[in-house]
Amino acid sequence: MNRHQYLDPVTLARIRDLKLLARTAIEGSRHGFHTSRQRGAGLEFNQYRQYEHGDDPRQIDWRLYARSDRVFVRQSERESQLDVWFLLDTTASMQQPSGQVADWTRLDYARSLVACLAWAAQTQGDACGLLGINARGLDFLPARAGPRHLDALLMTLEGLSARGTWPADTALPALWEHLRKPGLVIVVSDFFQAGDELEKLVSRLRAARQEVMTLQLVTSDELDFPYTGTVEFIDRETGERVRADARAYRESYRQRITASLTALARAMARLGVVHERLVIEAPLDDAVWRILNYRSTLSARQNRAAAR
Amino acid sequence: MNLAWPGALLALLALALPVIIHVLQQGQHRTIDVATTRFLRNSTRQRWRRLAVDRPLLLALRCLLLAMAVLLLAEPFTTPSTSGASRQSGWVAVSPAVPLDEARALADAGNAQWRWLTDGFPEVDGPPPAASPRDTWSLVAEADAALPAGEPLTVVMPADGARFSARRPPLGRPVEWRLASPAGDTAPSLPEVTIVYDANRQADARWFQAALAAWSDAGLPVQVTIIERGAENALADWTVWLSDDEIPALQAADAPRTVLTDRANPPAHAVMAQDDISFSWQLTRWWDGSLRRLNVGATLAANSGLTGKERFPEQLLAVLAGDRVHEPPPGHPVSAAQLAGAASDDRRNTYARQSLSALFALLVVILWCTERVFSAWPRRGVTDV
Repeated sequence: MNRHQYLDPVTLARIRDLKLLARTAIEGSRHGFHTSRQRGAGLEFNQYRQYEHGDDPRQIDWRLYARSDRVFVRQSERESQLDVWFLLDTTASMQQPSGQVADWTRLDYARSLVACLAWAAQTQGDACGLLGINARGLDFLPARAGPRHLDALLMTLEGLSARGTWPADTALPALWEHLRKPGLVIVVSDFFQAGDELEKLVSRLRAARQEVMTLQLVTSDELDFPYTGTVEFIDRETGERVRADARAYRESYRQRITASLTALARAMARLGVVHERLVIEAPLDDAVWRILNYRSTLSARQNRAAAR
Repeated sequence: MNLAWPGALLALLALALPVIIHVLQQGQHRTIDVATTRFLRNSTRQRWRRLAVDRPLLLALRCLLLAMAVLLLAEPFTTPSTSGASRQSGWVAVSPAVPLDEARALADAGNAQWRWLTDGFPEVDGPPPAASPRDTWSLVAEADAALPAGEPLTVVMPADGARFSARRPPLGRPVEWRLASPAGDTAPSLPEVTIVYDANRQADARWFQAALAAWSDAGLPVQVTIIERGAENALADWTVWLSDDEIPALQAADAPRTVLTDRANPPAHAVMAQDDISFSWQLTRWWDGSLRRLNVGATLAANSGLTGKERFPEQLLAVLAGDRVHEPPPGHPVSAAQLAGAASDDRRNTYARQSLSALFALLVVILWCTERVFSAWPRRGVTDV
């Protein structure tokens, strides 16, 4: 029995309060980003370093100075809090509703998921930032820690709307300005790309020494293709119309989407990225729990990387 | 299962209707917004051309419904099965007018049941019941209906005593006819009829000849001799006397004669009586023979009142033959050859049918309800986007 199956989308679709939702999901399950590190940043000893000009004098270990007459700076295991960036795809395809759950879209799921993860990060003292990307521009909230910032983030999430297409590469430099400091970037998207723009983005993030986690959100209809009869399919982003006899086409559709999903997972693995596919009709807390588990292992790695 | 109106099956052409409607409705496709059409592109355009029938079960149901409705219009029926232990070897239906001994001699019964050809068709085990007042055809048709299909029906009846009217009804089997000689008296011997006429009444003579010839149609062939007055030898058995001369007297040794005449005064030695027929015959006993007077005008052929009477030949026969001949069949005369003639191959026996219309009507109603439920059923896996 999996105990993380209480926040099913049917219920979530009725909870419009992201804060309540996030608190319920995270406090209820008591999962953290890093389970054994509740004592606070800067307390865990890691190493001494020679004092250099510009170091905060408060960090000098005066006892060591008394013993050795040399000035050392004490470095904790986590020198600073972790920056967690939520990079949210807000193109029109995120508007895709669930075929099974009324009033529940991919964006709704993404909102709830980000809210939960942000809450978890905030309780750990990490800084959370939000980047909503579509061709019309960037919805941006800087990465900061603290409950008040979390409120701001949740409000920004509420205000997000999905429209337009993915921006051209030339429109993205603003993104890189915000992501200068190494941290964790959680990319939330459907990953139905026109070309390989998202893969490019992820590989650039990796090149910028960011830890990356990619969360692909799909609806069950997209996986199963349950339509019958003659249907005209309209692409939400490009407006392209494809008319097809759905039943006759189901098998080939399934093959192609499966191939696409596999290819994406493989590409992400190649980039050293944790990739998770989430079905938006599945319980949310299960997904959150899985992501946080990954995150624990990731954060340890991140800390080691930061220390080097 | 048979159909009373196989022509109604032409209505099956209407089966094309639901198919056409179905395909046309299919053309009214829905639109669905999807995140990407990437997985549907490319070969789609060719494949979409292929006609794929949406909801084939519903279409089949509708076609079946229509087919059942058409069959219902065609009036399906079954004839009772002849297999199994209930199999008999048919009936021998004997007219009560025929003595049983004679009937047994005529009909080779085998295992057949013997029945009286009268109302209710009682078994033959007692004295003959009263003859039914009904028409023979009606009785035969009822017997035919009462018998299971395929079993033989033999009818034994007097050659002359049957009442046949109207037309021969459609029968479900060939009927074997056995004709017994008439009950009671011997069959009327219809000897030659001699018409004796004066030269000035030749037209009348020919008219009588025609009326007598009409008897042949009723199976009573008569040989008619037509002689001018003076050329005759003696009185024949039956004579039509169309002459003003005195009817020659018979010798005491002669056999009785029957003379038909229109002389105003019968011979003195004849006994006259009045017979009240529509033609006002005068019957005269003369010697042991009969003398009858036709009380019509001198020129029969010119008398339109007489020539208009179609029954004149019958009445003429009745007058001449008297009690010895049963009244010939009214309406359509039926000859012996016609009775015993070729078996009817008309299988459309309306009596032995068991109509399946009710069953098919029920089927249609059930199918219709199913179709309604089925068509209102939400399309599986498709949601309104």
